[in-house]
Amino acid sequence: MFSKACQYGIKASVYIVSQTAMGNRVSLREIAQSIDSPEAFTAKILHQLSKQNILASLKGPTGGFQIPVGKAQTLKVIDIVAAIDGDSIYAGCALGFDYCDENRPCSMHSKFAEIREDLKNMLHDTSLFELANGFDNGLSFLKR
Amino acid sequence: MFSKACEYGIRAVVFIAEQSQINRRPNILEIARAVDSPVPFTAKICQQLARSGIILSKKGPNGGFYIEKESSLTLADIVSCIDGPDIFTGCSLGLPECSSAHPCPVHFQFSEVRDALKDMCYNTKVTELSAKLRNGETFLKLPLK
Repeated sequence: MFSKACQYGIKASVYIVSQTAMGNRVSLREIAQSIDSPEAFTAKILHQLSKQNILASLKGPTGGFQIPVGKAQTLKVIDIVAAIDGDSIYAGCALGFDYCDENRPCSMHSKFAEIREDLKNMLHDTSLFELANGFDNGLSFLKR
Repeated sequence: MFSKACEYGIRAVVFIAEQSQINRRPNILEIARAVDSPVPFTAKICQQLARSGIILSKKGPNGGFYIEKESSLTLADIVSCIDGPDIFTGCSLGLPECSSAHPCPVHFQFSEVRDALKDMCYNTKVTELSAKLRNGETFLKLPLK
């Protein structure tokens, strides 16, 4: 469903939100350890997310990655997915045609429309803040 | 949602099924042209599908790919063969041990969508899709200009 990069991007963002809420900025190494991801690949993904203003990276001895609480409340899972995988998973044709619509539907169009809509709504309604809350309270896990 | 290989695989099998209904066995070139996919990639995918018994192949001058007319093949068979079963059963964030007792952060939000996708793929027969292609209700490529 999601690319590996997108899976790591979502997990890293949840972790960063949870740490920022406790007043911490986190290093690349800490993120990679907390979400069980390869460091170099994680660096690439975090760079991509900060270029798109989803997270901030501050340099210096007290530096690190952060997502301010106010931002985390408005940030949805769909923003991370769009930044890394693009919108084709929740907006594109299931068979990859760029000219598929109701007037000229592909073979899976009518079967897939509802599922794609539900996926889109789910991604759009789920905030990073709420996911980080669940993680903080020990209700969900980012590795193993 | 699906990998590019899986998208092409579904397109190819629906076309092969449609041709099988009229006793034709298309070859790789015909398939690639009919579903708008690159020839070498299509060849690789069809080989994989044939090796797994999803589609059948016949050698010789009238040879090509086909499926049984009354085939009970579903979308889930194609998707599992090419992308693996993870899309139906695995964790959406890739955690090796994700369950309701040990959930990833999106486990509960995601389970409903994944179950709907799974049900749809398991309950959609390829012959049902190929019948709609046959009677012009659905399409696998742009109209010729």
